[in-house]
Amino acid sequence: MSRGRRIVITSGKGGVGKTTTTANLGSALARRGRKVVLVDADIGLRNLDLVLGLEKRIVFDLVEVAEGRCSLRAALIKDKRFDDTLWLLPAAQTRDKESITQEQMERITRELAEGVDYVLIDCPAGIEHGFRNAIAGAEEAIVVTTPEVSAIRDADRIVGKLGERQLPTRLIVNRIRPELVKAGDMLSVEDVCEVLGLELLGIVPDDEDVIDTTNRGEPVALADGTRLAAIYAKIARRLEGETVPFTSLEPQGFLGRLWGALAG
Amino acid sequence: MPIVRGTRNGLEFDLFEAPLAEVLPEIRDKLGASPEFYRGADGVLSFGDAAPAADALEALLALLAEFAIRPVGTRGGPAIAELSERSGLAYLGPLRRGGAKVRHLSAAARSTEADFAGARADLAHRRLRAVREPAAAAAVPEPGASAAETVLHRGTLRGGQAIRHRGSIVVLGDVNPGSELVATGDIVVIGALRGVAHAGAQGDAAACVFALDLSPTQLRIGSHIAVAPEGERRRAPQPELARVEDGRIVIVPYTPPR
Amino acid sequence: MAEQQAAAAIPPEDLDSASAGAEQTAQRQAAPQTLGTAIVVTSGKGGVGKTTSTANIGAALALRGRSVCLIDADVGLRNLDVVLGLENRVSRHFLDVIEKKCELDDALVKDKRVPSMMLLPAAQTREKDDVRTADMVALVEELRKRFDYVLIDSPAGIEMGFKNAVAGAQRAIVVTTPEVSAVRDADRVVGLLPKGIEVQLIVNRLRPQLVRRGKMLSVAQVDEILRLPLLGVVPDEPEVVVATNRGEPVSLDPSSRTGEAYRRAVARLEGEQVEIEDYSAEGGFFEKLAAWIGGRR
Repeated sequence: MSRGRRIVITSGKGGVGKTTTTANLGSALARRGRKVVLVDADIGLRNLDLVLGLEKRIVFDLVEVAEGRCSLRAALIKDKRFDDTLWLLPAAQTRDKESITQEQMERITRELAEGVDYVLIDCPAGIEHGFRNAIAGAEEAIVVTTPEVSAIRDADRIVGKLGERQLPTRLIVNRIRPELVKAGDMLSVEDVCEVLGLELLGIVPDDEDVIDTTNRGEPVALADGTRLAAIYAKIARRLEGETVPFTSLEPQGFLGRLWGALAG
Repeated sequence: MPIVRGTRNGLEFDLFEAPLAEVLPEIRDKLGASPEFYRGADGVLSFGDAAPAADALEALLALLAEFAIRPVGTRGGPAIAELSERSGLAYLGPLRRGGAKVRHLSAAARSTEADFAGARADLAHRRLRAVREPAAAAAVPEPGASAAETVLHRGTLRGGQAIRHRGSIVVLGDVNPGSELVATGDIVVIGALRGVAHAGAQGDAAACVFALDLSPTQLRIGSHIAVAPEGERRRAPQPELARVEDGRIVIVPYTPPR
Repeated sequence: MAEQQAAAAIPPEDLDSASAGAEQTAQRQAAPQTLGTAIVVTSGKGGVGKTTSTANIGAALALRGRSVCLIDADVGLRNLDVVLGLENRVSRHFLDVIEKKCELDDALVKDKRVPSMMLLPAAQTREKDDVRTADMVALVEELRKRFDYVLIDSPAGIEMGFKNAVAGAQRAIVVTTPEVSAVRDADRVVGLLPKGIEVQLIVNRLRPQLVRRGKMLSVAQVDEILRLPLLGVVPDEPEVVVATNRGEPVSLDPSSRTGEAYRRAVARLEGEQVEIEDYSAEGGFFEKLAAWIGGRR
């Protein structure tokens, strides 16, 4: 039985788009026919279920699996938008991050990886117990950051911690605003890569519609024909080892004529 | 699915879902809960296609004799017909899921049923385990204690908070999404119920859930689970009651009993 | 409240305007019962604007003549110093103070622009578990003797860092954005705050045009779940990101709309009756962005 890749999606700074990235990257991979399990490691502050629109179907969670109170199969929620290719293992909401150990996390993700292609772990913000648990279950990492000083600083700290565990790590720069980069008011992707020293997996532009899609539980990666869906599809391909060039992006509105920036 | 059902004609024992030996303790518990009530009743034993193990059947018959329940017949496949003849029981024919109405479910409802089939089995199994190993199930309240005591909580329950109680729960406030109420008895929310509520958590399908605004993320009664249909528009909140009817959870506008 | 009554006990003849500041400071040092108020700024969800809000509320308080100490409680992931533009002036941090490796005065960093505001930075190379709750509470008590306000910038989450940040506070400001995830996390946090703590809400990064189009929660929808007294509503403006990157709190900029929102929030914090802003007639974010960039050419 083949063993899937176990990848943690982390950032250090909260609110830069870990959960949105996990949901959308997972969806893009599942669309390509890969078998994907998403794990929400943010015990007590779970959001991955909301972003996927699966909140109502949660019966059991990660903590109950760890405590042996239900089977792993019973806790997995199948996302019906896909053809048996995407599942979610939700976090517990009424517990805290001390409710699970690193060993339990490692055991559970290893079991999940049997027979699937990807286990994507949505990491909580910060560098405390929850973070350590999340990375315990992973063999690779994706760091998500926005091009803001605070976020990059926190990402840098995270990269250091991931390096301690020797996890191969790649970078997604999220919520880039090309207009601000051009105006010299926001760091460029090149700046970010230079500071963090990571291989670039993807660049995702800031988009007004993302908030609404996360509120409604409909990952934008499934909105065929949209710019963001195409971008996440490209990121999925890069993750699988394809060399995909970063494409040109036109900012919204009339500014598009004046300048362009790289995204994809 | 309850194993022992009372009907107009006596008791029905539905023994086709699990091996007989496994369910004997549950039958004993159920009968033992009100022995006088069942004394002298007729009992029909419905097996599936496979005949039960001989010693398990013997144990069952002994159990029924202990509670003075008369086995008047069996149902099931050809193997059961044979078995009945050998044991001196009357064979009543193939399995009849009598009384259960055929439900024409929409595709969405069937899909939801399928979602929860595994979960329901697990919940039911968990309940059984609690019955058989009370010491091991430390966090789960003991069976047979429905509505023993009622706890009153004043104030809104915030996301991540939970009340788990052996008895009934009354909340004077809202129950926010991300919070949980688990009661062996009933649940009453004088406010908006937006979190998860589980009434009759030890298998009491007669429990109910009431709220001034019944908009839960998920509702559970006994081992039944329900969610609001997709795309339900927000209507003006009105007091509503949820209970199990015909084997599924229904929600009705609340009218005070006369 | 006890501290206000003690302040009122200053003899009237001493309240000569020229010396009032010094007199009050002297009184404060002489009568340690006159304690400042410790307020924790928290949210649950990361990235909704705790640190930005802490910096801006602090600056706005300082503008009103209050003495303010900002504590960055995000050990290991400190950012308050960057938001204030003070990262080059940080030498010691509060863990050094707790561990008696330096004096409090060595660690406090005076703000570049408003001298009555000071920063007590976090350690960058330590862990949150290195801080004991009792030590944090003692530190906050010590600071309350010296400052009118002690604002504690909480880390994201609900783990040890959050618990330590909350421990010494009398009041809490919960920050949320008008998004379902943020509101849910804020609700969780409210449920974890100790009883008896006074809680108020800031709704940050509101985009009225998105609310009109039904693509963002309205303040009313946020209130339906959180049901907290509203301290302020801050609109999402392009200038904030830039200001943060540059280390200049917007509340110090008289022409900034976001700054104005923070200044009004602070007025409410001090008990003034200020109406909550109605942004519903506004234009969209990207229109503002274009206009703002265009205006700067």
